[in-house]
Amino acid sequence: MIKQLIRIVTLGLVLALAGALLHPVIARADALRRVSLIPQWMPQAQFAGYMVALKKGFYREAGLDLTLLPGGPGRPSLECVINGQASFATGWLTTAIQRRAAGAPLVNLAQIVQRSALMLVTLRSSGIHRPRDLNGKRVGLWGGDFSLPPWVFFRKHEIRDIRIVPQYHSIDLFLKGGLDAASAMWYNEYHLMINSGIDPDELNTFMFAEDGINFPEDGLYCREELLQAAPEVCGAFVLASLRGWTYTFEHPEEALTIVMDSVRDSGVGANTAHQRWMLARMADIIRPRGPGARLGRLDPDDYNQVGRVLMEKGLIDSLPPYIDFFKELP
Amino acid sequence: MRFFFGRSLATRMVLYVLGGTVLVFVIIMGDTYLSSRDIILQQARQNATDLADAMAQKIEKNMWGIAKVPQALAGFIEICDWTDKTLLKLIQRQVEDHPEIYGSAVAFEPGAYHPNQRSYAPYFYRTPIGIRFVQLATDNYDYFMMNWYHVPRTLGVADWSEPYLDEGGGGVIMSTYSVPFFQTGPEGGAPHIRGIITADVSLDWLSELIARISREKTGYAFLMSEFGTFIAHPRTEYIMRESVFSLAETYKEPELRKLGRDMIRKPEGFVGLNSILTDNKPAFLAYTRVQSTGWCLAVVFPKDELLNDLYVLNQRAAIMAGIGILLLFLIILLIARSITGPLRRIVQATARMAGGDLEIDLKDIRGRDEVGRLARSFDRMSTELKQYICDLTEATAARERIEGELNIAAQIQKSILPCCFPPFPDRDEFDLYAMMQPAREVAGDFYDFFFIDDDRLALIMADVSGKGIPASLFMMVSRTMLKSIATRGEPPDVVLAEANNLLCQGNDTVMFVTVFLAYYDVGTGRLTYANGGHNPALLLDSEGHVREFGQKKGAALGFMPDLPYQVGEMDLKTGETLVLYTDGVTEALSPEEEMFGEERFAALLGRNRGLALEDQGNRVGITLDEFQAGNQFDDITIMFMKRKR
Repeated sequence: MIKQLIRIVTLGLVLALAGALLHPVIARADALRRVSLIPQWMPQAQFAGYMVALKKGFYREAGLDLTLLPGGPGRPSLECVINGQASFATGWLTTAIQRRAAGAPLVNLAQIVQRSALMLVTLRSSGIHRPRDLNGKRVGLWGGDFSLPPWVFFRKHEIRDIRIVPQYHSIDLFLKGGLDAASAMWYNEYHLMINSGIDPDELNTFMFAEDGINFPEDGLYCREELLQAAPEVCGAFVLASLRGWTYTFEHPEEALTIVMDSVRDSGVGANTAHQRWMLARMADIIRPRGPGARLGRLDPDDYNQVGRVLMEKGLIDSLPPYIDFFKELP
Repeated sequence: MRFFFGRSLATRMVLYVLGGTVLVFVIIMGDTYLSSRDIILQQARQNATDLADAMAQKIEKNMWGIAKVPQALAGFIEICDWTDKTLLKLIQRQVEDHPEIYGSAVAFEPGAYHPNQRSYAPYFYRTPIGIRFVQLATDNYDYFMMNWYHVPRTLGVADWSEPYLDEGGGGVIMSTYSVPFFQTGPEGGAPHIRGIITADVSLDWLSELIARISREKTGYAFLMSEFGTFIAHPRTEYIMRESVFSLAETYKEPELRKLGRDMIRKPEGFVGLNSILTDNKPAFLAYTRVQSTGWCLAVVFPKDELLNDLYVLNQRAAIMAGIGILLLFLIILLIARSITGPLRRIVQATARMAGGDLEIDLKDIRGRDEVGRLARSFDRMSTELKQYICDLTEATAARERIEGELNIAAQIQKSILPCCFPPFPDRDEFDLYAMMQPAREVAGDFYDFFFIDDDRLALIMADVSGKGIPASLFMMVSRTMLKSIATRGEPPDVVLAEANNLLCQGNDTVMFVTVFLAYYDVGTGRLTYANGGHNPALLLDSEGHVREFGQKKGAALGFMPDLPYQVGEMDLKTGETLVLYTDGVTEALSPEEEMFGEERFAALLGRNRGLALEDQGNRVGITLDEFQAGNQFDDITIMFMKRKR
């Protein structure tokens, strides 16, 4: 009775296995590697490359079944990778170095945003035209790693008397006159100001990257173990992501449609004009040297500059070696 | 088709009258349209401004009412001692008592509620199943970072927040009125903020308010935040997502951006525009500020909606005008036809008449107007013409008959006169040529020559009084008589006397004939002659001298019987030519009424003396034709006889 049962079960298993091997669809579905990516903020054109790569099937073609996890405030993306909630994450270089220096097994697979988009914006009418005019003024600063470039900026221009006002996720305080200078991402808050009725010629901008304070921003990260265990998966992910960005820059309007779908799906208010602007600026900061330049390389000089600042601020004790941190894939 | 495009009278009448009428219609309607449009637009502007003001005031009143609630609570919290329970009760009551308030919170500064507690923010909000409570201060929701807290706290004044999606409590789109409340510092120091009291307004509530007001009027309203974001709009997809500036950027309307800047800066305004903001239709937009919130309320009146009544009115006027013009067209056509119909018939009749058809009946064209009179006189003309042609036909027939007879007479007459030259080819003593050119078909002149014996040649030149048939008849008689008497061999005077007596018998018409009769003896050259009232004969010598002889010694034949005639004699020398002629030669008239005369005749003969007789005769004929310019009045007869040996 039992032998008979075993025989039947064995036969069933053999048939199932044969069927699975013979059936190409099942075979391919099985071959897809399930991975996930969490961006460091809510869906917007800042992450267009990944949305496009997903939508256009670049990940699938690379053998990946990728899930794009929702990011945003309260969900620190790098933490999600560290604690295993996500395979990959986008994140700021400054944050990643600090986490790596603190022992987290994070590796940078590609440095996507090469040029810092962080800036200070003032109303021309406030009389702040040069950095030193900021002395004694109310300056809105974001917390955490966003405050590092401004810190370097103030030190460079010997601005000592600043009334720092915490700035959060909106520019309302600036618009309502609560700030003399506001922090802004060139691709986001700056344009929100324009779309609040302030003309560009009514603003003075202080772009940190233009002042030599270039802290590269979004990069792609994963746990070191994943890279060691499945380098081909990481490589496929990075290549598909870069392909997504390249496609985005070559087909901005199609990419915009894909972005807008995600923006709408997420229920967050955002309009086409804003996402179009953001997409165009992403092109500027991901390819600061223009089309044709190689995407995703972390510049050692930028790395060292960021590391120095982190050490000066006492945020890290020592800078992890560049080759340990940045794992450029072939 | 010819009727319309030809240049007929009817076409011109229709074109001119209708053209003028249409022009007048167009001018009047255009003017009416423009002036009524101005009035309507003026009113629309007033209405739009009034409506915007009224709506803004209504919202203002609501907002002001909402704002009062947390303000009152702030005052209470600042002044009074309260317990945890009363605070919660107060917040709950605030929501319960004011249906327009969606939710309300009292959020404290770090440690301000309790020194050991970082944050404390009790929040009551409305749900379909009643008022619910939630503590906003949780690990996931840091209210210090929220605009509704952070902005008024930093500014230190009460403030309406920009619309936002509240994730902490309600999960709805809302705007929050936040009132800071203060705490006096220790030992009378400067007061510092202790916390923020809020009242949330759901934007759905605002949309409903706007929609309710909008439904009552044409057009629609929308509400924008003080930075241009849509708070309430009939297009719900705009709410919170788009701002007037993002629309301007997406649809590339720099003008709209300018308008947006005016809308969020100026207290009020009115513009006409055609933009994505007005669904790409020409529209008027009136905007005004909601004072307490700084929001901008705008009312849009699509122009076509405003002008719809005017369009309808104008359409009706245009239709009426069209019908009127059509009627006018028909009337003009009738009038024109009543004129041109008869006229055309007259034209056709004329054409037929020109083709020879006189059977025309225009009697049915009545009327006492010009056309009627024209038709009648035309009819009369055709009748008269018909009569005339009838008469003419008869007369022509008669004349043709007479002409035929005359032709025969002329032929007979011609055949009677000898016309074969030389007449006596076997006689070489003389040369003879005679010719006659009748003024009409038949002549009254005649000539004749014949031998009465072997030596004597009779020559007759005669001219019957009058012309035409009677003269020719008389001539025939005269000639026959003269010839028959002369043939008997009687002397010329006897011949004339005898002929005279015979002609006088029964000559009631008193016709007469002048006759020059000569016998020429071909052997001796002697000429015996008698002249009965005729002009003299001429003698042309070989030198060209012309001599007249044989002046009349007797009367013309036919007047009265028994008249005497005399015989004259004359010798013709060899080379001399006898010329007999009638007065048609010498009395030929030029167009200037000048007579040809004997001198000219003599000179002509003299010049042509060397020519053959026939040529001399022809020359005389040609010269006289030229002299009279072809207008011969009397018969011309001439006879030459030249002695050759």
